[in-house]
Amino acid sequence: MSDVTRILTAIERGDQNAAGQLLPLVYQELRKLAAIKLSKEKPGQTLQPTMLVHEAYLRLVDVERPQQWNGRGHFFGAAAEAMRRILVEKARQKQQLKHGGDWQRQKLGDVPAPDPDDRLLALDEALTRLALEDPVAARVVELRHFAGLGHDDVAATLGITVYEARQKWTYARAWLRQELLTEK
Amino acid sequence: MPNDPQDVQELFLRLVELRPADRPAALDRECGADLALRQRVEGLLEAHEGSDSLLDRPSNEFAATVLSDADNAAHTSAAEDADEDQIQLSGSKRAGSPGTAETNIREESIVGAVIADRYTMVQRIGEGGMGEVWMARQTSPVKRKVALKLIKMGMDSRAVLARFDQERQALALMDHPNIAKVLDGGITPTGQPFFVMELVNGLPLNKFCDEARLDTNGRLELFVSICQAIQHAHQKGIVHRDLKPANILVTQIDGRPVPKVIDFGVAKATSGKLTDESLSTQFGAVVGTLEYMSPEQAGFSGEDIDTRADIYSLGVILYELLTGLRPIDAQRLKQAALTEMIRLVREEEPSKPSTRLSTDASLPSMAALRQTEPKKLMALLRGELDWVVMKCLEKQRDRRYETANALARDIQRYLADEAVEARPPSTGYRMKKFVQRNKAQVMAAGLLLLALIAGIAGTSFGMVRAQQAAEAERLAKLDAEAQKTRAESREQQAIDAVKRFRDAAADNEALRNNPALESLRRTLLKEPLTFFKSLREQLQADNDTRPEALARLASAAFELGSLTRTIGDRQDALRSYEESLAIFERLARDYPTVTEFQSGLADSYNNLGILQKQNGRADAAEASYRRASVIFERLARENPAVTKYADGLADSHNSLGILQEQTGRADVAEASCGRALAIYERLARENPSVPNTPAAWPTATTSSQS
Repeated sequence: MSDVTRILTAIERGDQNAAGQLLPLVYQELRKLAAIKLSKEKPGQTLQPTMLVHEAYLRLVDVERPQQWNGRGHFFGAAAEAMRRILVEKARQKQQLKHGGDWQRQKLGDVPAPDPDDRLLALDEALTRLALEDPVAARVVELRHFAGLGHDDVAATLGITVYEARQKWTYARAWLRQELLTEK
Repeated sequence: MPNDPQDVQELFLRLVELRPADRPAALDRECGADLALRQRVEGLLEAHEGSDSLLDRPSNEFAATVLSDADNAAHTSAAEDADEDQIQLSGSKRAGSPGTAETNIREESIVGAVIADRYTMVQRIGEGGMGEVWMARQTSPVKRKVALKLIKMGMDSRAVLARFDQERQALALMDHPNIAKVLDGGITPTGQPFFVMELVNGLPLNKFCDEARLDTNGRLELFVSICQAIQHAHQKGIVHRDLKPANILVTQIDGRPVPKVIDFGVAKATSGKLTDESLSTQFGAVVGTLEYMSPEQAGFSGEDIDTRADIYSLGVILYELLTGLRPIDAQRLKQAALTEMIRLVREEEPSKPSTRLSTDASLPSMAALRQTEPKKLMALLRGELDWVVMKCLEKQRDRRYETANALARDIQRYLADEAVEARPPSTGYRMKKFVQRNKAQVMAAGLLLLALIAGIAGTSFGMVRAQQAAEAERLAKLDAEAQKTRAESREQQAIDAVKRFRDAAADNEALRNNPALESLRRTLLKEPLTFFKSLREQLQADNDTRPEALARLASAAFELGSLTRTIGDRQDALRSYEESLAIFERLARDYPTVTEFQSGLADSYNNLGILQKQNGRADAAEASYRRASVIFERLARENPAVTKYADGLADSHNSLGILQEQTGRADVAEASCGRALAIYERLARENPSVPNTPAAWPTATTSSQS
């Protein structure tokens, strides 16, 4: 049984300490995956966080053993948080470098291309502000946007109804859009 | 006084349920004199109506459908906005080839089933090689009827989804009255991929035209709007890949026929490449599609597919609209063995529509369906329409119309009695084709080999080597000089073949962009690497000091360096470049008039510079870039007609600029990038037909620097 599956099982049994061990493992795996993906993707293409999370889930969790929602929810919660951090980290790094890359005769080198880093960082900051006002709404965005969960899964993870999850999403989306628009 | 966020949220959520037109009145009522509250809620409502590409990135919605089988991710806002274009189905059936008895799920068990929590299956409306089309009722987030295409089991669902996901964002950008919107996609709990599309009530193109007894001009007008729809998709970067009459449904709107192209994105997601397996498991589907498939799609060679594949398919559709026949005889296709079928599509030159029709027994009925007489129909087709159709059907895609719009314009010219652009092929061209046809067979076989897995490819290199050895033995009887020349030309052939293989593997878009195939790509590239390695060793062992032999050795080292850099150790790559550099340096000094030696030297400097930079040796890198630019500058000045020298000069300026910027010298960097940009711009202007002139790249570099 994989480490992550073991932790998830512990969480299901009610061991709350286990949850703390989850994030670093998920974070590590996602970073690894992201590094691989980034090195292979053509410049200008954006990292698809939800695909990474999904891949991490398949790699880290014993998929043969069906996970209870409690455990799965925890996984995706941790994954969403980790993914958000990774992307922000990456965007900051890239902003510092601005861009690197050369190209050469065989066009093997990487080519600088416009990327949505600024927007991601702005979103991250806005999300942090939203969390001050409505932490649940911010979590909903994190889970949907960075872990790719559907409303049902978001609801199960956060222990709210699907209706509430939808409402929170609608609100958060409008709130963030307004925030991001007025910032410019 | 700041508003309580709770109140703002509550009010917003209540008002967002209302129709936009009803909101102002409700705002008046709820907010009264509280202007701050009103402003806040109004702002949110406005933001809600807008869209935000970052948050609404479809891949997220999409990944959600992958993550859980019982998911219910919301639609993208594009889909929500599409609420009003509900189209009801009025009894007509979506066409599909019969005879797929082995459907995976029985109809009775599927009616009423709910897929992805929001699509209730209502009725099966079509069946084809790929799967079934259902009418489904969508319940959330909007209520409407949609067409849901269930892809047959047995395909790699995850690969299908991954491919669909790649194109999803582009699909969402398509907005054209003649294109049916693709709304969603996912996997059913039983693992079948599905696609959700706008429901279109209509007949397949051919059936509609024949039932409406549209005359030739009516058909051409309809075809023009199809071309325009395809043009729209092409502009958004989407190639349909499976255009055929069954994928073009015609509806009557206000008494006028309106075509709608369906299944955009589906072919790319589901077809992948032709493989032996797909040929045997989906025989019917493949045959049905082969008739409309461009030569570059029909084959195992893994050629990249671009918009011109759709132009070819449009040509087949036009052929059929005009004559009722398809350029490649369906009967022949069905009787032929698989490889023969592919050969027909790839190589056989079809007859002109008028020629084909004149020999076909169905001519009278075809004429009747077009409200004309056989003789008149023949006269109509002969000449310009023949040429237009044949220009679409060129095997060589750069001889087809460049865009769907160009095709549409030519037909409009015909309709307006103006001269069309298409011309009959010249005799000279036909002669060349004849010669090429023999070569094409050799090439097709070669490409087949190239596309096969590395092991087989390796064997084929081995075979070249073995043949070389046998040849060498036979030639031992000939005089030494001639023998050497022949062996060298053999060797050059082998080198060229390996280079072609390497380019095919290294530049293949599908391989490059698919992480799952990365290991395959590396394996494939290992073969040419091994080849160049042993070639270099052999040349070194030959100890041949003639300049042409040295140049071959330098080139082998250069190629080895490039390949090693891609898949191997950086230090090894560095050593290879240094070796090629040293040899080219000597050659360039001893033979200053041979431009190939000069440019080889410049190329070596350029690539060496990049590796030096990666190893943290910025000063050395800068010196290398400068040496490269000095050589290229002279070559470009002395040979203004050779674009690769100017291109090389621009590349070295640009690499230099980026290096300077990263080492904190933004001012000189700007000058370097500016020089690169000027050259790229000139090249792009002077060579508009070269798609990869990298003029857009330095624009990004320089503009983001300022």
